[in-house]
Amino acid sequence: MTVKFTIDGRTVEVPEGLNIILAAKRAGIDIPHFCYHPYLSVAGNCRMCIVEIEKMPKPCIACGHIVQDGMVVHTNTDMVKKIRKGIMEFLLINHPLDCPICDQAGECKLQEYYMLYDCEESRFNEQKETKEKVIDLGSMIMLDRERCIACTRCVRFFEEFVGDAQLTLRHRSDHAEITTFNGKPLDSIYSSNIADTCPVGALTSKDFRFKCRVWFLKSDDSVCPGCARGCNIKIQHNDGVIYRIMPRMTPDINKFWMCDVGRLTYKRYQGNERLTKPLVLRGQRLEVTILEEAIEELLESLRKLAKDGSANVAGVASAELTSEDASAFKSFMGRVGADKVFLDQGKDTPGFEDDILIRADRNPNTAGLKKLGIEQPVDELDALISSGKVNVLFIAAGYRGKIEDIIKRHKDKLKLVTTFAYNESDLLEGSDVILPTLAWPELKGTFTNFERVTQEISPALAPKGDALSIKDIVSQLEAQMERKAIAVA
Amino acid sequence: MKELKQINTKDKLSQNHMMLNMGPAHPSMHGVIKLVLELDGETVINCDAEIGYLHRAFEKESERGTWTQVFPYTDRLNYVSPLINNVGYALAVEKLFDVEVTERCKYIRVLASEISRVCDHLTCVGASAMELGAFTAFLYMLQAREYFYELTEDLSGGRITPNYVRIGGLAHDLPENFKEKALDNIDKVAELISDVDKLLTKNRIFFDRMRGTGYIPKDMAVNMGFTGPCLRAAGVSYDVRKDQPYLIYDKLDFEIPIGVNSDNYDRYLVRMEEIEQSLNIIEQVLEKMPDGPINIDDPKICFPPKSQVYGSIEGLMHQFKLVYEGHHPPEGEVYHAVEGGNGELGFYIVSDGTGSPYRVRVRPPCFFMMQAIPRMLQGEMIADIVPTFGSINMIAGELDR
Amino acid sequence: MLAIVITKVILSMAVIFFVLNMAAILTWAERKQSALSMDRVGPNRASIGGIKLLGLMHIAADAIKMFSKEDFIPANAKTFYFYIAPIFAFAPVIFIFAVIPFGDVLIIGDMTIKLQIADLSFGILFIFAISSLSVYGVILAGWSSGNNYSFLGALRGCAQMISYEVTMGLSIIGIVIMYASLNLNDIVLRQGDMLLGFIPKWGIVLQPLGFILFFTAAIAESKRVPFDLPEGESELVAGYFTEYSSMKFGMFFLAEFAEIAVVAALVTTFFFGGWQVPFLGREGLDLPVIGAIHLPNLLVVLMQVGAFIIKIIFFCWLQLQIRWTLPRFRYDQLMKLGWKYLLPLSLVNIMISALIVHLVTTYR
Repeated sequence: MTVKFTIDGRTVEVPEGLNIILAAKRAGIDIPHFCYHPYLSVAGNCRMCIVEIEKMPKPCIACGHIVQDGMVVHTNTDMVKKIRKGIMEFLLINHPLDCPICDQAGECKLQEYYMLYDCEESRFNEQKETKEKVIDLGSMIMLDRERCIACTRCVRFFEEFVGDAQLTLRHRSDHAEITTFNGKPLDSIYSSNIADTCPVGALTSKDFRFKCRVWFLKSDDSVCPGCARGCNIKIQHNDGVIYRIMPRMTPDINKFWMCDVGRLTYKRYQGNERLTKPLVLRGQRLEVTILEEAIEELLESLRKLAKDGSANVAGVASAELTSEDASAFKSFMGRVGADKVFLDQGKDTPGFEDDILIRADRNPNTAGLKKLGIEQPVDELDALISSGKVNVLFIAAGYRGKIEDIIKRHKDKLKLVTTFAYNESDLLEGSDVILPTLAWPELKGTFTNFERVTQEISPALAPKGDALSIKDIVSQLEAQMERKAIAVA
Repeated sequence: MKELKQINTKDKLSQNHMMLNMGPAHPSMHGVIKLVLELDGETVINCDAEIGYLHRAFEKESERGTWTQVFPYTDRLNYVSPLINNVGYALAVEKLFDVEVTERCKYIRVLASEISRVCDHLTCVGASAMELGAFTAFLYMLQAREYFYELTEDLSGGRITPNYVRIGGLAHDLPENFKEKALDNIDKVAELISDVDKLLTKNRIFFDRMRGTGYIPKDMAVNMGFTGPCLRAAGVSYDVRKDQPYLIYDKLDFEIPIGVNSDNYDRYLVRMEEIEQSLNIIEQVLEKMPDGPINIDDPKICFPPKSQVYGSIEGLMHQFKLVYEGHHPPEGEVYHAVEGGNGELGFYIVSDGTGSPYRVRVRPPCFFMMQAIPRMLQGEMIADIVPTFGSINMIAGELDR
Repeated sequence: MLAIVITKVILSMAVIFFVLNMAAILTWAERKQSALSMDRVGPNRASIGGIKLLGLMHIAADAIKMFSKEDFIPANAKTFYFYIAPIFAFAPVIFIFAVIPFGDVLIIGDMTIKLQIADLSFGILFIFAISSLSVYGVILAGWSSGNNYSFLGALRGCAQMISYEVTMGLSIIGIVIMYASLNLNDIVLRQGDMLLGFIPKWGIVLQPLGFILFFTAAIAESKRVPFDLPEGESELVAGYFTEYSSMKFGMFFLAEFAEIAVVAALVTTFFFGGWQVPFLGREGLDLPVIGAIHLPNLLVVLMQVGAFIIKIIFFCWLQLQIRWTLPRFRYDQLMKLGWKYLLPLSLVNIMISALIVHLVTTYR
């Protein structure tokens, strides 16, 4: 069902049940608003979205009115403009002069709307109301009460999305302030979302605080690698450094939100432990080399083992791989004679799980790998190695894989271990050849989430050092094998 | 009318000719530029100008920042007359916004432009003289320029990189007692210029070196896109200030000197006369300067006063938005030209409605004159390269951008 | 005999000391002079133990700099000639001073000492012979540097020096005719006479045109503005010594300034009475109205040497002032001036001089 309504002289047809803000958006008209949020209930306390509706006696808030057939809305009349100016002036009365030290500056709705709808000089000569400024709200959030405009988005978020009302608004008018019960810290893993939803700089993320001004950030779309949910996100980075991860609106998967666990996953990709050069075990030491040489030595060892006829090859793929990498890896394993590729879900799986977003499976692509036929759990490898049925391993490693422990246990039973990895880990000790790979922020590929939705990730950062994607390394390996006509099996 | 010297280029590849790389590191190649010369003894058979050593990607760089952040870069175009560049860019952006600055602002902009023009001509004439060996005349000119740099400094706080003009106005108003100081300095400059005039204009050696060298026929000058003093020395009366008056040039009383012979000496004379005219304009402007605001009354264009920025959240936000996000001119493209020290200085600007320019293209006057250099030098002697090159007044900052 | 050798050695030492110091001071004077005419301060920073002496310490600073800088030889240079070129540039300048009389005779006890190192009867020829040698310095330096700028500079310098040598030589013939001698001391002595009793019979009075021609040609010989084409920095970077550094450059530098002193000394000797002071004879003053005043020989000699030095300083100053006033010629203009104007004029000068001398001697 659709309804027809007229906005600023234009007649538009929109689906039934939308409020005026959303309907206007479809008509390409932005109605300013602070407290309204499309995934939260309507509070109607900021009054910024006021519009004039014909045949209504007074101006109305656009967030609180559902468009009806034949409705005529004006968003640009003198009265609306005047009201907006008035609202802005009221909001700014007690606002501190914090822009230079505020993380929100640059994506602050107050600044935006001031330039668009106000642009008047201050008429306020009295003393500004002062409040407490640096209030620690748990591990993720910092609160500044002076900057708060009491829109209650954060309160509603906790009530409606998390289902655990940890925040509330106390006192009235100028003295209204956001608080937790008894000053208890926030303990939800979704608390960072209130920093995103806060239209001003009152709630800021501790992780991002004072790291980078937002107008320097570049944004690239991706999918969170933190769990099997596959939340859609934006990677915000500058000069090759990721500064934060923000949720991207996807109605079917994560709506507007994501969890704190996912938000912090970026840290594992930009530590000092990233591998940038191939390493080869020579004698007792791992030596840095170039990819061509590492491949050469790997194939030489493989050839020797194949001659003996003692090579029993198996592959291990982490559930963090993109489907493309996993598929390439699997077909390569076929070429070197491994009939099975085992699935490594990592030490963190299973983690805790709730029915909001986070999943116990902390891998983004388990479903994708299973679809490719990689589903035998890596635990089964333990017995195979100890019984000597596997002595040559190819590992496409992820973050903290279970294979690390297996390798540690059976170091002496393995004749050749080749690791594709992006981070230094315990695997390094047991490996003979280590080839550096790209990690999630640098990769292009697809993840399939637990609901079997396949989504694309795109590279945000440039590759580090000599790292290549598993797909590219494997294709080089295969080319080299072809040239040398090595048949392992 | 004299003929361009014709050179027999048949034996171009003859082994008897000497190749000489003049520049990029050479005392008289101002900025950095290289002339590849083919010499037959002292005579230049062929010449190839190699430009681009000072390319700083001005145009590309302009697309990165906000509209206001381009101003400091324009200072570095023709760094001898930076204020004209400031004014030219500001006028182009204002044309895009379709706004007109206040009356007082117009007067101050004209004042600033003329101060810069005098600096430019003084440097050009002085440098040419120096390169002919007349070092003293050069330093006299620099002394005169110093008086005008003082005025630039009073206006803007900077001597070479003033960054004075803003979109819709100026960074700040004239300082106190500016008029008295300016008039005083004009007198001093006029005195120095008459000294140099005595030293050079009727100096036999100077005359012989300049007269007849660097000749370019009138039609060729027009075809090659000459503007400014070099075109006027060829006898074409074209001056943006007169032909497409901007700011208040149509209300001022000044004349455009033109030459007859289109050689270095005429260019020298035209520049000397233009200095006189500019001094005259400055006096007129100072006389007629009206009171009033210097910035237009539009918060979307002009920065808030600093008292508001530091004193109220409104001012602070205003400043913040204009600084990090920039102005939002309507979509479109404009070309606006002003009369720079060397000729028509044009800014062609494309806006896509965002906070930074989509494209800023500069028409640098000396770029067009540089293409005539090989033609002007063929058949001349090595020693003529210097005054000819000097009279073109190539400024590498503007040429290579 | 031994006494003569000793006096000559002492005299030579004194002259070399004078010339080198003169050259050194001229480097400072040139900068101070240019600063004065350009309305600026000039060198004033170098200080030794806090003593600045109006920037005179720059001379010492320059010397230290010249000696301590890297002596760079370009890869393309012809090393041997590259080494000897500065010597050729510098040595002739010093040699010329050998025949220039600094004063009359100094009488110590029963010894009479001529204040001139070599009293040659062919003094003028010696000067031209020696000064022509310095063209080798220029051409060797330019050619051996292996640099196009140097090469062009050397060509220009060579052509210019040879061209102007002709004028210089011819313009001096007037003087030779007038004073009937090639001996410089004789010429100076004869300039002590008076015309009409009160006008000194200096070269400038008898040979005004000769003076202008000689002075012009001499400046051209010393390659200074407006004749500095061989080293015009805006065209040829530094001309024939572009590639020179350290003390080898210092030699060219010193030679240039010593040449200023040489030109001043020659002009003084030929046209301004040399060491002559008007009305000062060997015995003392001989004023027209007051009559003779006897003065001791030492005082007379001091006055003569002093007058000579003052005249030299004046002409040095004049050259510096010209340097900082005029622009530079172009090569073809320079040649035109030399061959088409100066040369015919100097020939005319010779003829007129010869005619006058002939008439005077015939119809006295």
